[in-house]
Amino acid sequence: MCAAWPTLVLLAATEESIPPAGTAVRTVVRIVLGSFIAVLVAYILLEQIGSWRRRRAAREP
Amino acid sequence: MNPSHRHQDEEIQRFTANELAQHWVLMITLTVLALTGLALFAHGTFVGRVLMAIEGGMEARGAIHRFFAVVLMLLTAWHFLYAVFTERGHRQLMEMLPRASDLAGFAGLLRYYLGRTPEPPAFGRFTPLQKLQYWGAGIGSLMMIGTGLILWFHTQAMAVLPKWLFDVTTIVHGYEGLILFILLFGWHLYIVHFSPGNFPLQRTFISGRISRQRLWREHRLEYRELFGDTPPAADPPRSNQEAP
Repeated sequence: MCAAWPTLVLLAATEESIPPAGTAVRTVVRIVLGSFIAVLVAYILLEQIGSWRRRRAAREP
Repeated sequence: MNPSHRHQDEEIQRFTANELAQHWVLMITLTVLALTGLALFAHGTFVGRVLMAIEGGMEARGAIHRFFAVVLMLLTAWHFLYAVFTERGHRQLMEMLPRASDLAGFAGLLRYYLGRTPEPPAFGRFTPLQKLQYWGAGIGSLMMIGTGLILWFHTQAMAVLPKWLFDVTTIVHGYEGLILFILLFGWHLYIVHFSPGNFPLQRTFISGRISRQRLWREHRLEYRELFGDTPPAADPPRSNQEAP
């Protein structure tokens, strides 16, 4: 572990030297990511609204 | 430990110590990997700078990230061996396989949320959402390991891979990590602990046990296999009781 530590530190230090990819690729990735998050949020909203409606219906005489 | 052994009258053992240990190692490993990865991914933001400072700077961050990446690889090997070479693990894996009925089950769940059906669908050992989380985290982890190794040994990788593929690998690693972070620390936590009926904390990940009432509500087909059609004694009343 101790011997491997300096090597790991050296590798980590070079990480930032990798040039970034083009903006078009990043835009596509961000659209996919945004859609993914939207689906998850929609699911949570659907479950919460359904739960709220059932609890409200249960309270009504 | 017999997983279907009834614990007292109210709870049954749903997960073994081995399975709980795998979950704990995965939980700790992915948390550290997410925090150390996020520090680099968002290094230009306030959150990124704070995380980077907490983690001891760029070099220490990278070292911690790589150490826990190795832990994730070992955990993956552990889980693979468990799932393939033990009877219990293999049975669990078979139960986890996606089936056509999962789509119908998920559609039924949405109909229940929309108020179109009075009862949620009856699920077996694992619900469609649990399968989605398992395979999402599993395939996601394998992708992170593969792309992470390319980034770690980038000098060797650049000797055999074209530049565009290396670019794509860099993006996939960063954004797949973000997706995993959202999936596990947002959606998974919500479903397990914050969704109706589970708030504020579901203790199965600590004890491995589940109440008979919860098994009846959320895994009715499995309950019927273990106990037949007789429902358990009613739950104590809770304001947010829902299923599943």
